[in-house]
Amino acid sequence: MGNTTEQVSNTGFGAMMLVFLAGSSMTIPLASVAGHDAWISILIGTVGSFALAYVYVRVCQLFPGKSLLDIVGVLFGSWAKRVAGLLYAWYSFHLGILVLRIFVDFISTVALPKTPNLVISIVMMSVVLWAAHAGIEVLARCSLVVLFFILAEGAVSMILMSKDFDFSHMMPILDRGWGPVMEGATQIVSFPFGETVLFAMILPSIRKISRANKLVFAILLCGGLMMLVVNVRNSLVLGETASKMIFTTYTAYQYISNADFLERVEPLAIVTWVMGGFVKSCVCLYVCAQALAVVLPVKHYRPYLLPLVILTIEVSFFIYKTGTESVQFALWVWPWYSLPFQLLIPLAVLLIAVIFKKGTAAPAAPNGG
Amino acid sequence: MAIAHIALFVAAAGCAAWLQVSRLVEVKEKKQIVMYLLLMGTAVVIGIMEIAGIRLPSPHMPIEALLKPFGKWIFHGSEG
Repeated sequence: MGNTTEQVSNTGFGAMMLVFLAGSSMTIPLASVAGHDAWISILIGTVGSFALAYVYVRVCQLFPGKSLLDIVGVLFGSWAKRVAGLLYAWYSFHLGILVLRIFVDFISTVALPKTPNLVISIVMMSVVLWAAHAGIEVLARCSLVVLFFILAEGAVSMILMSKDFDFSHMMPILDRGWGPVMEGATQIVSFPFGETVLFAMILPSIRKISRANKLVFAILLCGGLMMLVVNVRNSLVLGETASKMIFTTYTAYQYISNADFLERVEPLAIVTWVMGGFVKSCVCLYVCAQALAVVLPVKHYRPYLLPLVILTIEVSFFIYKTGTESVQFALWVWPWYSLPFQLLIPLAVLLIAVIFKKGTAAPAAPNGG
Repeated sequence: MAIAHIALFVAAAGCAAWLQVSRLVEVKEKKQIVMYLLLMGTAVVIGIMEIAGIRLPSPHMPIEALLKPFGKWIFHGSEG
């Protein structure tokens, strides 16, 4: 992975990460356990995510040009690198399955109820396969376009929904205490912020690694603000019910009605979801194939893409049976299940690198960055 | 009907695998052939089982069995 010739601009990388964060988190409710105090959970979660991000960004900066898996290889040997490759391949594959399943559930519920789920999955994953095959540079450029749509959609929706805002929906603040808020913050750190650990496999491809720290923190902050705005917007329109719905943003869009003329703009939410889901699935597929290319060391990851896409589609059908199962998994299992991937492994790598003084600091950026 | 679907699926996956493997044989990427066949083989087996209507266990089962009690214990508020 370290010998990759693909390079992405810092702007493209930032756009990709921001769309990855926004991908599924702007459509489904975050920190639903905190109810109308979810915005506090988002703020705390955003701050907490800086610690997670610092670990993997620092590791990548200590070994410029090397991915997290390459660094594991340098510090622990080739077998540890293969095991880590297998673990991260599974993690990104699993995440990709969940993203696809939520995407298919959403589309089949709100947009194409009579279309078989298999058709929706195949169409989505065909485009994902094409983009992942084209490489990370293409994906970064796609993300720039997608980001523009997401930001424009967010701004337009705020204006259109503003007449339905009811600020009493946000009161009283902290009526159920800090417990649910902290639970919500923990969930937000693991989903979606912690999932950005996958970018530790892409970080070596960015042109100015010395600026990675500032870039990643800025992206996490922007992502947190976007989630905060969307969450507050949905709560102001829907009230307490916002935290009890699965597709909150879509429901909030249904409230838009201006001058008996501008109505039924829900497809905007669908477009955002499709684009965000596309980028997130692409990143998961790309990282999974890259990680597998480390398990049995080979030069190219592309041959693995097609079987991985077929497997993703197949497993997405039986990953869970009902929506309740997925909610329970997200609430009670996902934060702990993803902890080793998001924190423990990168932290162990960082500690070993610092204690044994391995690695070389990133070279200074040409423009003093 | 299921047999026809299975035959179609196996034929499609087989063609894709044949094209890819022949390309990899040319460049002598033995490790990649092994991994590719492993992945494609798994995909074909799971696909056949799904088309045949065999209910496959969710990969979440062992993870949930291990972590759900712990998660429920930590997150009391979620139960409300």
